[in-house]
Amino acid sequence: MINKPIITIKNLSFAYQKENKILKNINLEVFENDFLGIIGPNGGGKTTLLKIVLGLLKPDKGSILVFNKKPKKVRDFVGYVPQFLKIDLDCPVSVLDIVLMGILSKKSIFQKYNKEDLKLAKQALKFVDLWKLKDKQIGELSGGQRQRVYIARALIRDPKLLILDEPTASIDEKSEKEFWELLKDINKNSAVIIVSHDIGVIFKHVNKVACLNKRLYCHSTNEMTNEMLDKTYKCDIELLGHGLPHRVLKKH
Amino acid sequence: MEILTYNFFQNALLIGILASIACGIIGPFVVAKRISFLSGSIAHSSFGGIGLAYFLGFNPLIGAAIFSVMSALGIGVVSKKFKKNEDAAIGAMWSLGMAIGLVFIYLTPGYSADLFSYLFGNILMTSFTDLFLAVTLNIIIITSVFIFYRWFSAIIFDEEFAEVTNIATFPIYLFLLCLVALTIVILIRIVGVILVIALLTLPAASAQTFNKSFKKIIPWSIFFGCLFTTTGIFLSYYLNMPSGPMIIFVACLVYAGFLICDRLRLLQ
Repeated sequence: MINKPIITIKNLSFAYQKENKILKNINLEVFENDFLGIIGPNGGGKTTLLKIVLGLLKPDKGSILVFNKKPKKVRDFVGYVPQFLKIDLDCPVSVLDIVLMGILSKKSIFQKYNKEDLKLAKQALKFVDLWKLKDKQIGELSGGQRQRVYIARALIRDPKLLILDEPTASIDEKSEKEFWELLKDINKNSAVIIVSHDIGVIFKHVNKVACLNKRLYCHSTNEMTNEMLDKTYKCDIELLGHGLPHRVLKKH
Repeated sequence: MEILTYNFFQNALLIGILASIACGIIGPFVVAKRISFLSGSIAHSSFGGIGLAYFLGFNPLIGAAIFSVMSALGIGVVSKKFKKNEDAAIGAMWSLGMAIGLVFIYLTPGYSADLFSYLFGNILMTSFTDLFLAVTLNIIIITSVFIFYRWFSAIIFDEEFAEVTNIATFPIYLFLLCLVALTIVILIRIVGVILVIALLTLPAASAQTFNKSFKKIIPWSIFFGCLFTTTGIFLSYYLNMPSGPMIIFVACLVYAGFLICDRLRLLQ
């Protein structure tokens, strides 16, 4: 199998306010079976980079291609799991309603959800082991369960690329373990990009790590020996505290 | 109960029910999307249209409809495109509409006797035209929500996700605000522009304390709307008080009751 790049980012820069660049000269390639972890300090531009990949923001300089097209054009192939805190838990919608929102854009105004759609929803909810809770309101679920609802909502779109923004924040240890198992399964059919400042766990699961603090440095975890991984691990934690993660990556 | 045989009283009850249907359907979306303040701004700026109608001599509710829809679109654009200044900008639109209305009324010769009724509502002055207008607006609101229900809940629950799945979130948001504007027009007859916001949100907010899906909240808020308006109208008759404030008293009292019950349930 030839491994084609599905995301190609070249010399990309972005600033919310002039002269205060949050992303500087980013270069990145993501391949179709990659499991990429993006780590970096808060304010380092992780979410901004995701927003550019999702076509919510346009880069000031440089280019980005997703599946060889502009990000907005390929959204049908992309699944997105947003940050935890953004969602209003009082909203009166059920788990099943939420999962079906994943395919709402494929429906025309007068088209009801049909049996096929419900089957897809059932499949997605069974995959994340939540079918029994389909009628619950979102606020009635635990943190880990909610996270899986958002994953099901992304999976019902049958994505070729799954993007998760800080997914492990505010879920307990047991749920987190199940969560990584789930992602490993998903990675069999789809590329996965996961953003996290929780660097402790991420190294065990991903095959590529990108360190982002305005600039981005990327390398493969497979190429590293255990010893090196140990080093990176420690250094990274320390250096992230200093806001200079790139120094570590230059060594590799 | 002799009062029930009077035509004006029957009209009052009828428009109360028609308004309850409209706010029972739209209110839950306003409450869930947390745009009560924004809706208050739409309501107040519709006063500009009432003033204009006085000045040019046509039905003030038509003027209110035009102005409230226009300000809904304006406020919608401001709230999304000038995110940073949203709060102050909405406040500005709020006062601007009122100011425009007052200028027009000042320019209109003669004394505007029933102006007060548009500010605070007077359900006992309901005309046949008002009823006809309310029915028409209700038909528009019911049909729209029936068709767009799933899109409204999608942008209310998670607008960003809807956006990245290529749903036209901004036009849908503006459309929802226009429906809010039309609902407000029906409510103006009953409680007036100043008190509208309570009747728009309290039936839905009450219903939301013990229901967890739009499909259940909507019928319950229609029921609460009917309860608030009807009780208010009877109180207004027996206590010889204006109808708008009576309706608001009932609504606030019931909502406060639900809030306290909800609080107690959490403490248990």
